[in-house]
Amino acid sequence: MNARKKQSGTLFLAPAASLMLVLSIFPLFYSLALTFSDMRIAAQEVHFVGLDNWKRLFSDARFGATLINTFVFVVVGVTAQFLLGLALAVLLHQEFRGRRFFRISFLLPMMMSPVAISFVIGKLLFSEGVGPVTHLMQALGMGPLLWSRSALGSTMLLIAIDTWQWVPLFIVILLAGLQSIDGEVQEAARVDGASRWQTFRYVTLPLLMPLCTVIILIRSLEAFKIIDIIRVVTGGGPGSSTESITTYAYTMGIKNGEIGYATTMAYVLLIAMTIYAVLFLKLARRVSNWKYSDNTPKEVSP
Amino acid sequence: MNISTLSRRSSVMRGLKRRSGRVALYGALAFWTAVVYLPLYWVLITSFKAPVAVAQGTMLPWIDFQPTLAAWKALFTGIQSTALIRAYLNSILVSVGSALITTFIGAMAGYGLNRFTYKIGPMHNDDIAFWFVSQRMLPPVAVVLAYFLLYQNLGLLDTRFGLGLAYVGFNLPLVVWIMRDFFSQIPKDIEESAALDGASPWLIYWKIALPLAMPGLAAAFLLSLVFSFNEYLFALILTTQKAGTFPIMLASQVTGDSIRFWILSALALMNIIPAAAVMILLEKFMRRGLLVGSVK
Repeated sequence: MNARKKQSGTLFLAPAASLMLVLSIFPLFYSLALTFSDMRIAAQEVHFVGLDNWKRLFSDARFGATLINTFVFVVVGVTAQFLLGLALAVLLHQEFRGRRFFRISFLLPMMMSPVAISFVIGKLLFSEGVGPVTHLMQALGMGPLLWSRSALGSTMLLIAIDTWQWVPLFIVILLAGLQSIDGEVQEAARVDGASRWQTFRYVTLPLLMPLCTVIILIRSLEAFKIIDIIRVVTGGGPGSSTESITTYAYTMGIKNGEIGYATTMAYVLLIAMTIYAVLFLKLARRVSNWKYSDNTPKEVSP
Repeated sequence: MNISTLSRRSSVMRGLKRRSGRVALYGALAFWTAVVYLPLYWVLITSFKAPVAVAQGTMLPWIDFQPTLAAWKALFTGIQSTALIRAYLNSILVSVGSALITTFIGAMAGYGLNRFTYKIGPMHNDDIAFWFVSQRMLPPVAVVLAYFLLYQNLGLLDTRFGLGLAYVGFNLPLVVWIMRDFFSQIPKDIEESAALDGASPWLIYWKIALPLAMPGLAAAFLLSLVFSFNEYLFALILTTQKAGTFPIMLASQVTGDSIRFWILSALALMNIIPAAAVMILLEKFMRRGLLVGSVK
């Protein structure tokens, strides 16, 4: 019986595990090998070039810039999404009429195609020629909207689009988190005379902190992979000021055909994401420890 | 909330404060509702505009512009309509096919990880589950160029099968994670008594566990479906003409100087509407917090 059970257990897991090995682990190791080669599209022969790609990367100023762009995009974008998502989750956690309508409305953007959203917001709504935003600005005497020639304006627009799409993720997760917290603790704090804000800041938020950490990390790791919004809205411009690592790797790998070099960039992205995750978790632990030790009764009393 | 109900009548001040709190609450809700719907409203009306109305920035159908079906007609009867329909069909075939396979295989693994004990080298069940999820965290660009080379050799470039296969790998971690979570909430006693009666594990899975897990299967299927339907990078690199998907076609049209906003708006809506419908179907699961941690 036991042996039979073990055997059928293997049968349940084996298809998924072997698919993952073929579709994910193998390409990953193959990519690693490519970073030490001069592989090009339609290459007749491929050579081992040692660390040449990696060395070239460290002196590639454009790559350094894409690394910074990507990082700014992740940190600013995810912070905005978290703060807005937290605020809206707290609002939706209240009792009021029409909750279901607002919840569905607020979640709607999450499942939409990023390419379509990028067109709708970046190209249509914020169109410098025919968009309603530029019409409104002109009507108010502020002159036409001109973001496409400014690196800052373009970056902010990209972040705004990403934020529009991904605030819902924070709403869903944090709302579920708020609902799972037992209301009694908060009530006790309120009875003891804590204000609404104090209750939130010193009771609810610390309880929500672990979930916040996880979801910020997950979303950040997703945000590192940005390509579609950029390709549709700015094309990496003006100049190369909004290029991300992934768009640069695409240009280098497919357009220029230098697959070995492009794969090296992708690997640096992987390494950067790992370092980010480790540092973020360290920081999050320190912040929540500090929050708990800060949480003295003295401060709760009004 | 209870406390304030108790003392509601005790103070007029508090009543006033509550009312202003309500106003602020609805104000904030209305603001974000506008943020969500304004772009959607704009793309919807633009798809019914004539080119002149687009340039004028008109905003109210029948009042300041006359709606027209010209853009939609151009989509389905114009020169590009064959390419458009092919891309849409590709998107549907690839995402439905890959989502079915992913759900089938992923549910099995999710069930296994919850009901059996595994030990692969130093890895136990939790480690294996985490190993699956960690694959999802990988940046796709780290593997997609390798896919490109491998597919080139295997003749899978620009095929729906090749793209669908890549999506199976892409969504499998997610499905395994959701289904493992879901099966853990289904009580085991029926399965145990069936096992005592001599039912094989496979029969138990098919006849007992899987029917109970229907809601989880639906959620996993819909999520994989939407992620494949919206996916951009793999489709961009692994397809060129024949197997190109809808997002690729849409993205290729929006660059350039003379954008035909009205037609593109219709295209964008065709890409947005199915996903929005799925979102409404999934909202029920999300309300119960079932999908916490599994959405992306």
